[in-house]
Amino acid sequence: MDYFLQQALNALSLGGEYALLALGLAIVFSVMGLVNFAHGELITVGGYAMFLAVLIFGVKDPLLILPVGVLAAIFFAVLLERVAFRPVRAAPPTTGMLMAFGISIILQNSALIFVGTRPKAVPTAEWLMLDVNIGSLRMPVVQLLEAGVTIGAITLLVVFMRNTTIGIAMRAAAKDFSTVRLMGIRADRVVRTAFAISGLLAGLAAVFIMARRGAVDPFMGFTPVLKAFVAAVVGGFGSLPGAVIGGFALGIAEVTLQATLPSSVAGFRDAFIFSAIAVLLLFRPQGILGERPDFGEKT
Amino acid sequence: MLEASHISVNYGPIKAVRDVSIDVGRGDVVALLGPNGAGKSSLLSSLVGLVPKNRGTVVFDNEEVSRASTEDLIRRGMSVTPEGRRIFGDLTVGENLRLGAAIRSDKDGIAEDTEKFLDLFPILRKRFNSAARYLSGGEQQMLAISRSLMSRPKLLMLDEPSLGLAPRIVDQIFEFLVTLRQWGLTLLIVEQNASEVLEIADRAYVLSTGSIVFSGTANELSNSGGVMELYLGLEGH
Ligand SMILES: Nc1ncnc2c1ncn2[C@@H]1O[C@H](COP(=O)(O)OP(=O)(O)O)[C@@H](O)[C@H]1O
Ligand SMILES: [Mg+2]
Repeated sequence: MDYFLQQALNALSLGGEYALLALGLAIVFSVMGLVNFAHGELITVGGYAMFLAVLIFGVKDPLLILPVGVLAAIFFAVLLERVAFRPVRAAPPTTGMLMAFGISIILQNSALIFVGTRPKAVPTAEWLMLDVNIGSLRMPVVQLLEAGVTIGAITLLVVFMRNTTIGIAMRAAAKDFSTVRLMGIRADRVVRTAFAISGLLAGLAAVFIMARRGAVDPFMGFTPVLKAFVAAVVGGFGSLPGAVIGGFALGIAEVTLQATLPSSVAGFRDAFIFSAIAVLLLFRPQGILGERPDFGEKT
Repeated sequence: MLEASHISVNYGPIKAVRDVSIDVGRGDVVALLGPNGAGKSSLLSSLVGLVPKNRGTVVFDNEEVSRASTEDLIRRGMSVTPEGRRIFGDLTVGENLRLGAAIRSDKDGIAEDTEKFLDLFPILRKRFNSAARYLSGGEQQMLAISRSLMSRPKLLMLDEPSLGLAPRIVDQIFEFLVTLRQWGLTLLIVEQNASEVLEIADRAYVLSTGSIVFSGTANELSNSGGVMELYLGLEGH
């Protein structure tokens, strides 16, 4: 039972990380039609910002360092939108995608040149690394926090999208951007808000990824965002609830297989997962919650 | 209220609007007629800044706004009920109305206006919290017009408000437009369906293949059999 609960918390925190990242990808895609391949760099930027903050503030003040990671990711997401994506907004979607690829490569290489290939250690606050005892259970603080923060962030996002004018406008813009403009709502503001939210979610994920890894390197954003992309596709690309479901489903699947596969085949975990996804997509090409697109012209 | 001069709109090689000038005075109801593909929607979109003008100037409410953005023009008091209604189907009826009022911050005034439209169209009150896509075509049109009035515009431009609706519903829509006229709103109504709109309009323009082929009072147009027959497929009186 204890073992089960611990694995459940593992699944919840890993799934939460994927869900945060998948949501960020989905929110930008739904508003802009842009698959932001530079999303992983938001995590990396958050990581390096925390590294710098440790140099400046010292490790004693984790409550200062964590928000630095989040704020850096938000700032950077908004900056990217302004200088890189806005100029090509009217261009075909593939232009934006290439732009995102380019930015991703430029940032990775800048980190390699200016900071170096070796991971930089970012010591985490000690209390984050502790376990707490709940009855007979020992739960790592970082995982409890990650699960809690994810659920909190998703709840806040739902409230925001339902109850603020700009949130409602973002939902409307996902289907019909020009009519949103006819309401007098500024397109720039809608897009900037989408990027800021994607940065916030990536920044939260970055804080927890850093806490677990303890170090930042130029490519640290790649794998989590690849997984998040898969999660978003499984959930239905562009659907926000789909991104959350896809993220948690992937986290649960990974943890379950990790815990149950015999050690001789444990190395094939991802192969099992991707096969299952391939089968799912054969039957539901639009993902779990995606709307069925018109594939007619290609078949 | 609106003076548009020498407007041209091109889509690549396609000249959708050619050197069109129209004039809408304060409190006027003006009809813009013409067959499918004449360039009516393109003209409207260019007036509100959704498609770029190749040439021409627009003066709105005594200010030159030829280069203003859509968002700016709406804030200055233009409003459009687009062709095909374009309600936000995933959003609730209430959320649609709320977005219509996005440029306003007077909470009490917004609530008052919302009540006004819910009283006028009780079905919108009944469906206030359900997704707008479940409304019928006519109900969606009522919602679309209400939504475009939530910004308290000085000039409302409607693009084919009767499109695809049953005659009984069309009558209701035109009755509502008469109410708007009584409220003192300035209206520019785009239609293919000339007969109904000429009953409520003061003046009319007829557009064909991008150019104005007639302008005058609604009466003059109704009595000019040639234009009616040639461009609007109707018998003149
Ligand atoms: N986005 C567009 N791209 C290219 N051509 C267009 C576009 N919109 C309209 N057109 C063309 O411009 C002309 C005028 O269209 P439109 O303004 O929709 O006419 P109307 O509203 O009077 O039916 C038509 O020939 C139409 O095919
Ligand atoms: Mg049209």
